[in-house]
Amino acid sequence: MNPRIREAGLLLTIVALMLLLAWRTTGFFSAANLTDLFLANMPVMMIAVGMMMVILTGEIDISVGSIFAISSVVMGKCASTGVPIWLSGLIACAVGVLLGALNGRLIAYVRIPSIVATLATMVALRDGLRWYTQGSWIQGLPAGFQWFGMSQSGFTGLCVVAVVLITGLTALGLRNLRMGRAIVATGSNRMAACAAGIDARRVVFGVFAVTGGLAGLSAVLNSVRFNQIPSNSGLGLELKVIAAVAVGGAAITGGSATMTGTVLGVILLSCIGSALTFLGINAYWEKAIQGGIILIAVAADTLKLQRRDHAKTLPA
Amino acid sequence: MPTNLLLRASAITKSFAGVHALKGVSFELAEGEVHALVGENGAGKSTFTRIVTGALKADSGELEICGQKIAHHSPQQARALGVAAIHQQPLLFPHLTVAENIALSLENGEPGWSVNWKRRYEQARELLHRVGVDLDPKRLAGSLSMAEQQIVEIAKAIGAQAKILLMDEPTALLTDREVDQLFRLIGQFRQEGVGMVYISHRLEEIQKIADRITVLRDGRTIACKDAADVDRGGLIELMVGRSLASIFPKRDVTLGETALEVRNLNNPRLGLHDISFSVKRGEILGMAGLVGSGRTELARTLFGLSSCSSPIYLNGKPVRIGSPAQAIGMGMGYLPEDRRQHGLILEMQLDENISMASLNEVSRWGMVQRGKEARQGEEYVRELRIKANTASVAAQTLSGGNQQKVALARWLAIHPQIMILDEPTQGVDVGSKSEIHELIVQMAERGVAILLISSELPEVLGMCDRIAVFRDRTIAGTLLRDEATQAGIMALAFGHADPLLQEAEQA
Ligand SMILES: Nc1ncnc2c1ncn2[C@@H]1O[C@H](COP(=O)(O)OP(=O)(O)OP(=O)(O)O)[C@@H](O)[C@H]1O
Ligand SMILES: [Mg+2]
Repeated sequence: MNPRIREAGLLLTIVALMLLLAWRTTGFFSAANLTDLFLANMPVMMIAVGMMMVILTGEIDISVGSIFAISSVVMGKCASTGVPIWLSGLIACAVGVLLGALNGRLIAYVRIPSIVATLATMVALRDGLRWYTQGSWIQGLPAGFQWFGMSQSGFTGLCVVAVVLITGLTALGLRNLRMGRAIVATGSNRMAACAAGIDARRVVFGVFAVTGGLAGLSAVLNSVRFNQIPSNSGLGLELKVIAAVAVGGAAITGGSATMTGTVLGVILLSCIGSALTFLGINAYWEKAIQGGIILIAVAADTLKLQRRDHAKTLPA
Repeated sequence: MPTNLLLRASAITKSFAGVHALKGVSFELAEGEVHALVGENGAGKSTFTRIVTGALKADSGELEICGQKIAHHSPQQARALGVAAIHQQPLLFPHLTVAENIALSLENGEPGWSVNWKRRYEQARELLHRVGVDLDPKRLAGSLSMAEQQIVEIAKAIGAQAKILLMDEPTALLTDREVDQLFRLIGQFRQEGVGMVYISHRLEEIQKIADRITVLRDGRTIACKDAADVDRGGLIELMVGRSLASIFPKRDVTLGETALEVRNLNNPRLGLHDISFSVKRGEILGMAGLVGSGRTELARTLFGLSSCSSPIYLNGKPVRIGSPAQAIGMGMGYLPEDRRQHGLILEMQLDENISMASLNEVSRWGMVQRGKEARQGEEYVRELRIKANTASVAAQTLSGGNQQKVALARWLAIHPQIMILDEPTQGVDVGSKSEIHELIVQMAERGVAILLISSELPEVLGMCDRIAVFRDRTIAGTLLRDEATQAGIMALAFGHADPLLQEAEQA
C-alpha cells in the first residue's frame, strides 16, 4: 500500500476534526487544554516510536503497559527513599531497558512467539507489581519531585523537546543508519536478511530493548506530573499504542511503516476522545463514533488497494 | 497450418505505472501445438501469460479463448475455460503438504463435507509419478527445494487436464532427467490435442519441442515462425537484434593456493555425508547432479545457514562458520538458488538490495551514504544490463531474469575471495547469460575461488575446471575439464550409465 495516501487521509481527517472543533466549541484550543492533551498522550507517542520498530520487524509487544507501570513505581520508590531525582529517573529507565531486553531475549534467542512472550511478561509483571505494592499508591514524594522542580511550562518544553528528538532521530535513523536498514530488511523477509549477513536475532532483541527503554522514559516523565504515583498506571496503554501505530499505516506483517504515519495516528487517536467530550457527544456514542472516524481515516488507501490487488499480489 | 484455434490474442497492450510491458502482442495457439514464446528478460512473456490466465487485465486488445471473445475474466473463469499454467515462480503454500497443494488447485468447489485423504495422496502420487519424480506427497511444501517446488507446479498443471497449458520457464532449475520426462509428457499432450505455450531461455529445448516460435522484443511481437525455419543463431538475432558469439568465454587461469577445503564433511540434518573436495584460487569447480542430490544443501552448510560440526579449511586454516555474517566476514559470498525467499527483499529498492551484504562499504559511522549507494546501484544496473528505469525502483517490479541479475549484483559487490553460485543464470536470457559467464571468468582471473552449481550441463561443461558430480547427498566422483562429457556426468549422477542418454548421444 502507498503510505502517502494513508498519511493524506489521516491528515485530512485531523484537519476536518480541528475545523469542526474551531467552529462548534470554545476552549479546545486553549493553551491549558492543549498542554494537558499533550502531556497526557506523551507516553503513547514515545512508546509508539518503539512499537513501530517492533512492528516493522514483524513482531508485537503487548507488555509495554506493564513495563510503564513498573518503571513508574520504581521512579517513585527511589525518589521517596531519598535517591536523587535524576538518579531515580535513570534507574527507572534502566529497568525499562532491562525488561525490554528480557522480552527480546525470550523472543529472539529462546524463540518464543512475541505475542506469547509479551503476553506472559505483561501478566507476570502486572501481577508481580500488584503483589509488591499491595495496591497502595506511592506517596510522600520529595519537594523537588513534581515537574522535576521546574515550572510547569518549563517541564512541558522539556517534554516537547524529548518527543521531537525521539521521533526525529528515529525517523532519520531508520532511513540512514545501517541498523535501520537491518530492521526493515528483517521485517520484510527474515530469511533473505539472514542470508545477506544481517543478524536478525540481534535486530529483534534490539528493538524490544529500545521499546522497553522508551516505556521507562515516558513513565519517568509522566510520573513527575503528579504528587503521588498509582500502582496500576498504564492499564490498556498497549492497546492505545498498537492502535495508533496500526492506524498510522504500519503493516502488521512487518517491513512497512512510516514515522509520519505513526505520529499522525497518535495525534488522531489522542484528539478524538477529547474532541468528542468538547463537542458534548453522549458518552454512550463516544466509542462508536471514535471507531467510525478511524475507519474513515484509513479507508482511503484500503479502497485504492482493493483495485490494485489483482495486479500486485498474483505470481509473476 | 492452424486447424482449430484454441487461443487468439491480437494487439494486446499492458502498462504498469508508466512502464509499457506489452505494446501490441499478437499470438495464436492451435490444437495439438507447442508454441514457444521467446525474448530477452523483460520482453513481456510472463506478463502475457498472466493476462491469458486472468491474473492481469489487459489495457487494450482482443483475446479469444476457444472461439469465445473474452472481455475480462478472472482466474477462476480462465480455469473453467480450460486454461492452466506453470508460473515462473513456484507459489505453493509452505505449511501445507505436497498433496494438499495439488488438491487445492484441482478439487475446485467439489461437493461433500469430508476430505478424502486417501484419494488425495493417491492422486498426488500418481501425478508426481507421471512427472517422473519420486517425491513424498506428505512432505510440507516449505521443505522442498526450488526444483522440487517447480516439479509440484508441473504436477498441478498436468492434473488440471487443461486444453491450454501455459508453461513459463518450467525447466529453469531442472536437470536433464526431469526435462526429458516433461518432454515426454508434452508429446503425450500434443497427441491429445492440448495447445501449449512454452517459455524458456534454453534455446536447445525450444528447438527440440516447439512447432512454432513467436519472438517478443520490448513488448512487441517481432516474428512468428515455424520452428523448422529458424536456427539458433537466427533466433538469437531476432531476440536481441544482434548476433552473439555463444561460446563459453572460459579462459585458462594459473591456479593459486587452495582457498577452500572440506574433508569428510557430514551434516546429518541435511543428509550430507562424507563430502571431501578443495578449490584453489582462480579455479571454477562445477557441481552437477540430479535434483535433490545435495548440492544446494552443501552450499547452505558452507555458508553457515545450517550448522554443522565438521570444520572447513579456509586458506589451510580450520574454521567454523556459524552464520552468514561470519561467512561474509571471511570473504565468502553465496548466491542462493531461490531468489524470492533467500535472495532478494522484493519490497526494497534495487540499490538497497545490491548493497545489503556490503553495507560497510557504502556507510560511515554506521550511516548509510545514500548517494554512494545509489551510484553503486546504477553502476550495476548498467553493467549487468538490468532492465529498470532507475536503481530506486522496488525489486518486485522487475521481470524474473532481471531480479536474478540484481541478486547476483549483491554478491559481486562484496568482492569475495570464495564465491558460491547456485544456478546463477537461471531465467536469464542468452545475451545476459554470456555476459554473466564473462563476469564469472573475470572473477576467477582475479583469483576468486568459485563453486558453480548448475543444472544446465553445457554450462558446467563449458565453464568449469573440474566437475564434482553429486549423488545421494555426497560426491560420487570428480571429473577434469578434459575428460568430462555429458554422458560421463550423467553416468556418475545416476550411478550407472543412462541408456536413454547414450542413445541420444549416439543419434
Ligand atoms: N508489477 C509490476 N510493476 C511494474 N513493472 C512491472 C510489473 N510487472 C512487470 N513489470 C515490467 O514489465 C516488463 C515485462 O515483464 P515480464 O515479467 O513480462 O518479462 P519476461 O519477458 O517474463 O522476462 P523474464 O525472461 O526475465 O522472465 C518488465 O520491464 C518489468 O519490469
Ligand atoms: Mg518472466
